[in-house]
Amino acid sequence: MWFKKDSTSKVRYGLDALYPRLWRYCVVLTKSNDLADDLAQAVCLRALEKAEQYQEGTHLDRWIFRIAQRHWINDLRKSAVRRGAGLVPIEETDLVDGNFDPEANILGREVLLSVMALPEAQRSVVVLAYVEGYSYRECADILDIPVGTVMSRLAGARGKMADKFDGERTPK
Amino acid sequence: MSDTSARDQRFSDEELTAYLDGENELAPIVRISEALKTDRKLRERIKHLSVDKDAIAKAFQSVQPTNFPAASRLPQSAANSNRSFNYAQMAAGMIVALGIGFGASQWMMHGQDQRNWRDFVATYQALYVNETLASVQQSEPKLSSELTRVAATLGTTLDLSAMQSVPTLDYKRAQVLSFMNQPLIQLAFLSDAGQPIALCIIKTQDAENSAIRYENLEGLESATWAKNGFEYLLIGDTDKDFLSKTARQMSDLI
Repeated sequence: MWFKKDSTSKVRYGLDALYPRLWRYCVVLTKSNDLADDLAQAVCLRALEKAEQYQEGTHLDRWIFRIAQRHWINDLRKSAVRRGAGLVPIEETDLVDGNFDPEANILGREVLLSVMALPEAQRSVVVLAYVEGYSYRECADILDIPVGTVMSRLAGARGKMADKFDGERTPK
Repeated sequence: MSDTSARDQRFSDEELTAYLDGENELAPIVRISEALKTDRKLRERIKHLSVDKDAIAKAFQSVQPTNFPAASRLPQSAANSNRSFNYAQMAAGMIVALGIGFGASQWMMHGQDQRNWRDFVATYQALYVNETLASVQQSEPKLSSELTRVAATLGTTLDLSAMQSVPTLDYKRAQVLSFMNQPLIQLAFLSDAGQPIALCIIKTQDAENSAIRYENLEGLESATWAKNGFEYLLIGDTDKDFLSKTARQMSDLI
């Protein structure tokens, strides 16, 4: 049926543009480049499998992030932890050695490590809100949690990160 | 969390965080703004909760994938080919299979529906081009640990030296995929002619070993065999003789 082909095409070509963001979010979830590769590839396949369920006119990026989140929690996280990958201290992951631009400044590296050192629940919402730029309600939709939980996770994350950063300009 | 002894109980940390993030619907923006004019402790709490969001966003811009999946490298011309249409058909077919519901994953592992995983892999492999793998360069220890990790998802072990022992293939990487919630592993190679070739392995409930069978899937040559509870699919855009010879070598090795 034509609309199946069309939605599949939109998902397929959407993945093209979204892949770097998807992979980055997978790194945030898995704390490992290798696991992020696996998760991102699995998410791409799953998105194509479920392409018919994607509603055109809605935000493909949120749909993809939601698939990533669910796939990580439901299918991959337990096995990753069982294999030890989920327990690797952030200092030992190849995120630092492999993908971080060696010429990036020290502050950026410290910021990155500070976020990655947060508990998974907090760092995922920090990245969705402050890197991807989603609103609280959009974060709640992606993570399938109440918006109040988003608020408490961000508040907790800010408390932990506060000492690492200089203050920001507060809203007028 | 901020120091509870110094906390102004009029506003929670969550409300102050929403205030800092400009979430007007979720924070009493006006009341907080007014209170900040006179409340030193509230200003300290706001300062404590403040982070440099720009620095966070900038730091994560450096986190970029080194490898893109084949779909991301698919040339526009290929996207418009029949292969693309078949891909859409296959995706739709998968959705139908998923719609069968509980027990579908068991069902698909038997009889004629085993072709589904091979067809699905074929449509995925059809997106691979030389550039997908040409830039993949990993150290021996990393290749070995990756292979161990990926093989473990099938409850088995694979030897890196075996993957590297076929002289006409350059072993590149291993990754875990998923088909109908079943782990499926893909070992990727480049042939000496630079063509991407994959060896995919999935568990099978059929205890019988089977000889190598050849078929053309999605325009790609493929060889399938079963051995010791696993089904193997070697597939690539190569000539049939090359694939046949390579499949025999592979089936002897693993």
